[in-house]
Amino acid sequence: MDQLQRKLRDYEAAMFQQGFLDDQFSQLQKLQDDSSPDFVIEVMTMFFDDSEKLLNNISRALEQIPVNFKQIDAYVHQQKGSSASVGAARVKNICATFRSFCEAQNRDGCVSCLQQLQKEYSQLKKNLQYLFRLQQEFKAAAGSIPTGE
Amino acid sequence: MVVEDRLVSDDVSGDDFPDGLRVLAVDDDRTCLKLLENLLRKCKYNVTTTTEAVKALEMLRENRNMFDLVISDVNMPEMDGFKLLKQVGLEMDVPFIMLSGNGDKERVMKGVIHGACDYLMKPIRMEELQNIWQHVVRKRKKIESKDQNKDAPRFIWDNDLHKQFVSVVSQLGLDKAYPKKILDLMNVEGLTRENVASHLQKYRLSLKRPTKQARVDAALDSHPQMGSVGGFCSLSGSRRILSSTSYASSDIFSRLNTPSRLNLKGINSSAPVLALQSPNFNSFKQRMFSAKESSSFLQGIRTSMSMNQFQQNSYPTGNMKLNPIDDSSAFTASTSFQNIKATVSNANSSLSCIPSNHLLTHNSRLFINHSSVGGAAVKTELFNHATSGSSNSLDYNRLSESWKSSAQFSNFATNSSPLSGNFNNDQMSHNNLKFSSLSAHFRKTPVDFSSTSAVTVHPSEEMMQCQDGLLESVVKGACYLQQQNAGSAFNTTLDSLASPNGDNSSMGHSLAQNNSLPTTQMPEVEKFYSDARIESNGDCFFEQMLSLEGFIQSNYASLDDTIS
Repeated sequence: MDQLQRKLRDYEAAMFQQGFLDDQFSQLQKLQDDSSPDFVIEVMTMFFDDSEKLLNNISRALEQIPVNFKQIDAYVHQQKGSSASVGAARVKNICATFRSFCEAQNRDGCVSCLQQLQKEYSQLKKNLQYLFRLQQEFKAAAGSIPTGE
Repeated sequence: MVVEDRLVSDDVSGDDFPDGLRVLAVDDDRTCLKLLENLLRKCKYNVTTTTEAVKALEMLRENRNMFDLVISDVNMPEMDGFKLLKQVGLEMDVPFIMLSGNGDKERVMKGVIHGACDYLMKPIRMEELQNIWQHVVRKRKKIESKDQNKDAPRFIWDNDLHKQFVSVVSQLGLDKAYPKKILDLMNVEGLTRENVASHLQKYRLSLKRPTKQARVDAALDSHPQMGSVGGFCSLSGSRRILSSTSYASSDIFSRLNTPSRLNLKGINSSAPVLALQSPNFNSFKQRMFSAKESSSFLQGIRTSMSMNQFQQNSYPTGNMKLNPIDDSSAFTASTSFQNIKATVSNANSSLSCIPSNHLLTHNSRLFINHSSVGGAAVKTELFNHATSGSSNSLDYNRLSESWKSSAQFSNFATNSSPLSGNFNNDQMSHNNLKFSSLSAHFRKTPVDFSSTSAVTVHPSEEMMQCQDGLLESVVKGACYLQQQNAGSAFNTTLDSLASPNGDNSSMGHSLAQNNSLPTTQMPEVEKFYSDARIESNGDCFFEQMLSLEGFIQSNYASLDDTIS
């Protein structure tokens, strides 16, 4: 159990350290309490669903001819907003770059950004899902997820 | 529970405030919305969420008192945050907080202008949300104080309505004007006896004020038409102007702009007049135009009067010594006015400027009151001219007698008569239109003021909004003058004015001569207006004003000396 706890803590720390997550994620964690015990998971699940939809939309939009940069920019802006809200730092940063490519109407730049976005996003999702699993394990063993230190 | 019924004190004194604050959260992004919802719940607020602005509006419409606060994202499909904000602001007065990932100054400014209480950046933090209740308290306090200040539902007295009121009162005679009678005669739907009564009270007060203003008012009073105009002018403001060499325009102008005052369109014109006269145009600038009040007229007149005073060099207005700056400044103004008028109104018709008309009215009154005015050689001439083009001959005649110094005034008076009662935008706009054309003329060619058409100077509306200060007002005034009398006479004046371009120095002299004045003046006016902002009036106008200002300023200086 101690080991599990430590593992959980270290993993979480690493995610922050490596920039996958930022302080906003901590805010989310703070909001989790007895009245909303699965708040973080709920929010992140929503985030995953919405992000996947958005990424698909962006991908489709880039395949169109001519490319509707304004529309893509709107999608990216939305993605940026939601990732900022949940603390998905890396994803958020790519969005910023993506937007400037949209503004410059640089299709190649946009395509490259989309690829990066997709990569970061799936990595984040994988990591978080692992984190959640650890938490679930801990919860099952200890009764509640350790919050903060 | 009705929000409005809850007093601020009730809420804030409660131990649990702001717990239970009813917040409506709107964001098309599910994730953000969920986060927002939870953050708000953490603050112990009562949260309702929706991803659609349309739905939010529906909920608000269903029961305006259902929510204490709305917090909404800006970027949303279909209806964005700004639109929602606007609608909410129009339909129900609920505090509205904007939320956005974009913190550009323009956007934030847009939010503020549209009435948002606050503009928060995403990602939202708990700390920021914890204090949003302050907006609710603030708003309630505002509503509370508003309610306390008015016993009856607010009724707006617009120009037309006021005109109507004034004419009815004149008809009945101020002494016999009882609210009930006025109400009946006015026959306006939705107008209550209380509205009339309070308006009448204000009107009476403005007439009775024992100040210079009152004098003016009284003077105006004698002319029912004019009186109406004057009565409402916050002459006091103008008074101040006159009394202080420095033309604490701010006072005056603020008065002038008091919307509660007469919404005489004419006021605009007065503003211009003022501008002409006071060297402190800048300060006046702001107020001048906004005031719809006749006071501005007055001031304008006064200002002009003072200016005129200086121009005395040309005018045999010895009496101008009237302390341009004190109460009698009215006279002073008239003097200056004269000059100005002379210049401007050579055409007589020039008085078409609405403001001037009013001013004249006022001025005439003033003059009447201040016997010392005297000295306006110009006056006579002006008077004669004044009639041209204006249907206000009635006033004109009257004025000519009483005005010794300012023929201009007479012109004004003349013009004012129609104005007094009906100083309305129509005329002004009319004048405005003309004015601009006029100004153009001034500048270069003889202006062909067709009586009404001339000035593009937009008397009431544009002028009023012209916050550019005196200059503008002055110009406007000038314009008005011209407009009004856009008669042939005017043209003459203009021509003369227009011709001696750049001959500013001789302005004073020319003024004395009346005829020449216009000529000289014009160039100055133009100069004067180079910075003027009266875009609406056209460039010409500005130019005119500029020169006029220059003129005025030079005169002003002398006036100062005289006064001190």
